Amino acid sequence: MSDTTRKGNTMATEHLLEVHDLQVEFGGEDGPVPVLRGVSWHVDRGETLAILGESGSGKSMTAQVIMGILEAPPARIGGGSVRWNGRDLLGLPEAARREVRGQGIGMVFQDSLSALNPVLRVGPQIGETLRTRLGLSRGEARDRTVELMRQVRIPDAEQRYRQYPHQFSGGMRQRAVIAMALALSPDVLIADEPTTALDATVQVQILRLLQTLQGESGMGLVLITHDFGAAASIADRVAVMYAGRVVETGMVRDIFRRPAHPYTKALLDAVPRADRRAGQLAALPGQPPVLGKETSGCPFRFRCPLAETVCEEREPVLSEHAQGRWSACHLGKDVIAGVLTAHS
Amino acid sequence: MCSPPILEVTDVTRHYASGRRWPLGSASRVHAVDKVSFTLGERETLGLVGESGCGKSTLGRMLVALDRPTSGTIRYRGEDIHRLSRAGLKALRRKIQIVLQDPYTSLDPRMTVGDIVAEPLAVHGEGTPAERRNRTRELFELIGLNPDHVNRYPHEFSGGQRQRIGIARALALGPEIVVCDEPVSALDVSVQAQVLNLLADLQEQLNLSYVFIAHDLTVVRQISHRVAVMYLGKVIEVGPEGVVYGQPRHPYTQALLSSAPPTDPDMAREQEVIMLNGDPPSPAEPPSGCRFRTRCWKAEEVCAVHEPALVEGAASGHLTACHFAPAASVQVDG
Repeated sequence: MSDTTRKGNTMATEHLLEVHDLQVEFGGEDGPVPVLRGVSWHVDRGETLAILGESGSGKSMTAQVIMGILEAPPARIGGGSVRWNGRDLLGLPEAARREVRGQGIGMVFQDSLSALNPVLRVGPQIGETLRTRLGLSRGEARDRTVELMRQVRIPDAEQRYRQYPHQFSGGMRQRAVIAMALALSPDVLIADEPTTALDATVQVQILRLLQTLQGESGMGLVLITHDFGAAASIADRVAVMYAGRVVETGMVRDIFRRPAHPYTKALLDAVPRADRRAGQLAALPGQPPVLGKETSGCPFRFRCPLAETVCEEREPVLSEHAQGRWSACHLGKDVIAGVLTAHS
Repeated sequence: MCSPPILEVTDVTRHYASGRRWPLGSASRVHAVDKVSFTLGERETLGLVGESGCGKSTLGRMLVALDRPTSGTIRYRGEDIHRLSRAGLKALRRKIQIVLQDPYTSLDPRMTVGDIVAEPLAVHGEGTPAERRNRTRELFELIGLNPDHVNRYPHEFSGGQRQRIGIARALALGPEIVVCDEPVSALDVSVQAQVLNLLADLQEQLNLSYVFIAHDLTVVRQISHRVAVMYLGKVIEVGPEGVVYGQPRHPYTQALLSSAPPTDPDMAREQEVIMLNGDPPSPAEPPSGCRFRTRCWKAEEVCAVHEPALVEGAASGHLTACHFAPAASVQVDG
């Protein structure tokens, strides 16, 4: 929060979408298991934020909370806030949340096949919300849908409108799902692993499409991904998650060139490259953390080359180690400076 | 790799009769793999890379005799593996093994991981139960798992650990060739690097040959000595890893490489991406002539009429199937 308040400015800067200290736990046999342990990030108009992390880090769950589609119970929101244009979404009644969903915040899911009804034609599925939410007539909705399909670069949109999902390739289905998310012109689009299920040559097309759409409409784009290349290609800012928290956030160039958290550094080093072959990859030892295992101190310390006594004693909070360089690491300054072995 | 190849694949073709009548009618033949030829040297890793539906997994299954080619031969040390007797096939299974993609479904959830790894030994009647237990413990150490965990069940392990168990099972009989079918694509990047390093170490230690099947170009480069790029059932380019990635000659390879963004933000943004037209055609109705022509920006009339042969270019061992492959290799900036 402190990065957004400036001296002399009594009105706090309002972000387009802001998640603050979000906490979610699951009811387990042995008591509640914390899954999100104080997640904070924000995205502004015309900006792309990439949320990076491995499976189980909590990146998708944050999106589910924002959209109000997290199943609770078994999940329980333990605290924190989600503010969209200054309105706290978590406190809103379901009817009001529904208003925000689609019109305020659109979402694209990874699996486009299950996002579409196989027995309905694609066009009317995209246009459904236009009729139910905006009250457009059948003809109006149809025209607007064809326009949307063109906007996401579906060729022969008129013809495609009448086809069924199985007649679409994976890439085209993902475009249709994106069109659906954009139908009500949201000012934030959350794309959860939108390219993961696609072939490499199609992945690039979808990424570029998202980038173009974002540029055209000026919406805020949140790209949830495990793909560093995708984030490097289109993100302005990045938030890296580990064990239910954001452990590093900042501008993409800063983070990818000079990470401020040893986890980010380790992940970047572990990615194999197309332009040269490494002798051995710098593999991160150990396994990603298991949820619900109560540990003290920094959750990354078991895999961290820098871990010191202080890392066992208390969990580091996200703090600014240099101008605009935020990470949850006691030794963040050293990491930025490139110190990679532990102090004696 | 001058010694005689350990595995020789010649004109292997696999067609499936597609029984699907709904919704488009007319049963057709799916050309999953079409006249594919390559060799694998001892202690060599050949990467098979391509997008979904290119036939790489079908090919992998035929290499371990889990599927039969419609035509063509696969020879292991000169012997056609699809003409073996029952006993001969069983003996072959000691020599060629497979590691599967999904570490969640490829391990029986009701067996202990020790029994899973020891099962090939039991099937082949290797040693006494006590000897098999010892061998299992050795294998656990070899792949970096705690031998005291042999009595645990698969669900007690993470994805990366389970993939290690799959590798241990493949290594139990001391094979010479291991076909790895997308062994790391279900894993997180930090764990993926561990498994890739492990596979490289095991190759050194045990003199293994790998056929490494994956859709991820960067992963394939990391592990492979030679790389074969597949498109719609065909090998369209094959050569040493450095040449295929450094001077790709086939337009499809060039497009694939251009779509793998580097992790440097400026390089990723500057990288010239070759956008292909549309999506890959269905393998049930491959285009005439060159199968890539419908998406190729270099395609001309000849491409629709004549199928280009896989021929050697300027660099030895670098073969490309394209009418318009440049005579001299094109240097691509890294």
